Amino acid sequence: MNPWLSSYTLALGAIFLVWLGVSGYVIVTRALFDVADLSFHTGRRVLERRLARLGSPKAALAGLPRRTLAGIAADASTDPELARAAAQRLLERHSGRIVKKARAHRNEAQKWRRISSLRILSVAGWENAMPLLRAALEDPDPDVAGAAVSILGTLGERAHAELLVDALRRNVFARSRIAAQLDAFDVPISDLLLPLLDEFDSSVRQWGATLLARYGGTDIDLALAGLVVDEDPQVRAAALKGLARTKSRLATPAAITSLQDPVWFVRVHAARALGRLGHPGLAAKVVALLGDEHWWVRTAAKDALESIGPVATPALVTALRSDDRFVRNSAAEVLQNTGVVDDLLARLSEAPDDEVATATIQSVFTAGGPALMEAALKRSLPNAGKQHRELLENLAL
Amino acid sequence: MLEHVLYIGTLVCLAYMLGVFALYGFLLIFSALDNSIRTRETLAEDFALLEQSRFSIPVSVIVPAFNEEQVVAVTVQSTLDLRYPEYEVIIVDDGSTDDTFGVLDRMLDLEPYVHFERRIVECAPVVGVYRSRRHPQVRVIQKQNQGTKADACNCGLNFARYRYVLTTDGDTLYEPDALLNAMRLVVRDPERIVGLTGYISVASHPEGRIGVRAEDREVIDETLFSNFQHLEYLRAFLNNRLGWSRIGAMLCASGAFNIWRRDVLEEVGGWRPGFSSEDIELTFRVHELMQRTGRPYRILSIPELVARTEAPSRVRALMIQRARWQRVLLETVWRYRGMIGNPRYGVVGLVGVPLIVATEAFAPFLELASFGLLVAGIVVGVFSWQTYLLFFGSMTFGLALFTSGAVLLEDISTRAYRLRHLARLIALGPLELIVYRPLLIWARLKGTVEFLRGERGWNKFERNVRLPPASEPG
Repeated sequence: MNPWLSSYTLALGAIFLVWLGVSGYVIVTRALFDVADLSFHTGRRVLERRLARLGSPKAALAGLPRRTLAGIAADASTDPELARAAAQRLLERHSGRIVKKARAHRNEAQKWRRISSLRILSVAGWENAMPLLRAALEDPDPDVAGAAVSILGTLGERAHAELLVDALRRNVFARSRIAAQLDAFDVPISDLLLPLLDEFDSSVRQWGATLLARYGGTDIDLALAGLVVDEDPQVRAAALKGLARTKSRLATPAAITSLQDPVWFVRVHAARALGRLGHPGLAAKVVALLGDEHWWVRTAAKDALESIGPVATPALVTALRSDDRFVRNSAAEVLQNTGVVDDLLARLSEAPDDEVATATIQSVFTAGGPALMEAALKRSLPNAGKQHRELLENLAL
Repeated sequence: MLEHVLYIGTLVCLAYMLGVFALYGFLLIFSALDNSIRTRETLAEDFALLEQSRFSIPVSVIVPAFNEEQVVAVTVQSTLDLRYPEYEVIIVDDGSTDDTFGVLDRMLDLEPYVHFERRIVECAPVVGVYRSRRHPQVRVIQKQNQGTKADACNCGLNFARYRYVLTTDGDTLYEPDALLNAMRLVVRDPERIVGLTGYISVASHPEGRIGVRAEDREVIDETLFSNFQHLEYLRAFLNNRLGWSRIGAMLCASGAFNIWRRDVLEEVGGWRPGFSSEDIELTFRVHELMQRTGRPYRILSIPELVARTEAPSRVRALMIQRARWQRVLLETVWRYRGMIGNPRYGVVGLVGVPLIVATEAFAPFLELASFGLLVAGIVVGVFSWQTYLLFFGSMTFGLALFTSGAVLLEDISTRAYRLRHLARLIALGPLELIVYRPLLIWARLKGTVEFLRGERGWNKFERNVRLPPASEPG
């Protein structure tokens, strides 16, 4: 039998044809995409010229095909006024079709048409868009629910916030994403958020407290202060963050109380809150946290002391003599990062006999070790070897 | 007798090849599904909000650099250009003996300071810590060289302060949207997503794309050698890793871009310097821990292009790189041999690791054997040369088919190629088995021998020649 006529030949032929088919598909689909892309962009350019000539979006959109109008209306990068005009024009002629598509979907292709239709209806300000968006929020498909969340956030009116708050409460989509949309609302919605603090679900209370941090006011401050003793540590932490952000007068006592919280990340937020509030009188309380048993509490304490700034120096200088090596190291590091060390070295360069500066810098270098001293000298006196030596001799180090 | 052995041997090799092709076909289906889902998701994603939101999870970016004076500036600049609301950049100068630190100093305006880091994992001694006067989120750590990237990553981990850690390479350029694309998935499910990698492309001089408008960029190089590597990366990331990721058995989060949740990194003890390369071993270790302890978790690969890395432009450099990859694969598989076929490790133990062993670890031997046996069969008279040609042709177009599939997946998700790029890549597909694959087989055999000899070490390939010196932005 001729070996060329074996089953191997058939196999090769089949594989070759499949390869040819897939490769052809790649090229053809790409070419079609390029054509569609070109026509879309050509349409956009034509539209821009018409807009410049006619001035009114409505007039400029006249005569454009449905697909181009849909593309302009659903594209997030389109100018809002133009998108609205395109969406309204589409609805004048095809409202039934678009509403039908926005109502439900049965397959993947329909799903994305549904999302585009929802966007078009919303952009056009269609009076019955809200029930459709509500239904989309309830959809088990995360893409549809996510798109509804995003559209509601973009619309940004109070009624849309109400839907989103309800969605947050019922956990219909990732709460962090809903919260991100609510956090970007320009209209005040604190009255919609306040009831979240009384919800049974601690995650809802946590997000409520987090979102309310943008606002402030007596009611909110009181409600947040009440959550500082919540049974859930995440809620306690969120309440502390919120109070610190609003700079409420209730924040300080709440944060001081929370420095003793049994859960480490609540202590972290207590330290950060005190740092954010920035009262010099609180520095000593934060310094105490430098010796906390948990690393991240100590780090938060360092950050907080840096936020308080050079006014924390007296408390930090005391900490330089702590029995705990970490406390000593951290105090020296904070003094370095707040610029106190460099200032002291500058003072000593000008007045080598300054006894207070000498004693303080000696304490800092002893607590921080040789690396901190070398780094400080390099920063303060670059390329000055002789000056270094003299200074070190003066300091007896 | 000899004829019988040759015949049986050839059948075994043929069955192996068909099995490998079947697996790749299976993975391609899952990859296409994953690619389609992710691409659609990005259409509905509100990236503008993610970029500004205070609820986006902050990330520590670790950039290990050893003797990277030619490219480190553009690498660092690409990390500074990342679009993400909150992240820090920790550059670890791993005892470079060239001017890497000098380049960084001039670019970032460094000042020495002391940071008492948390010693979570062991690493070689730190000799200096610097912060940038220009970019407050950037720190440079100078440490003694210990010979592995793992050690530099561990050093960076000790300084990292955020919940997720991204480790990178000092010779790789990052896409501005890389973190946004990756973290958009993490913020949806931070409890389960412990690791994530993305699609990495290659170029002889990736810095050439800096500052060029996206629509004007040449997506592929002009040289065939680079194009073949491009195709190989395409298949590895878009045909295979996406599929494995969808199945839940993605076993290599690429070292050039891998995001890990820090608590998991701490729990497994960071990167292990005892291996020739760090990425695949860490991915295995995290799988091993999570499966053994029965915790829900996901290690994902995303189809979006996150970075461009330097592809060796010389054959010798490629051989060194690929031999190391083979060596670390064998080291890892040998270290975690207890997972193979072990139901305790779920889909990873029952499917992922056995198939990696079969298709990657043993591949060079079986590929070589299949061609050798066929040649011997022709000489002895068991097969005709026509049969050999038909077999070879089938293999050629079989491999090319997967290449076209990978090109399709990338084009659908990015539309970055031009039509002529697509035609060029597709046309190169059938040539790969003849021109490029033998080099890989040889490199893998070399790597296997090195593994058996117990060789370790990074064996970093020499940087490609750059005629005009790399610019130093900033």
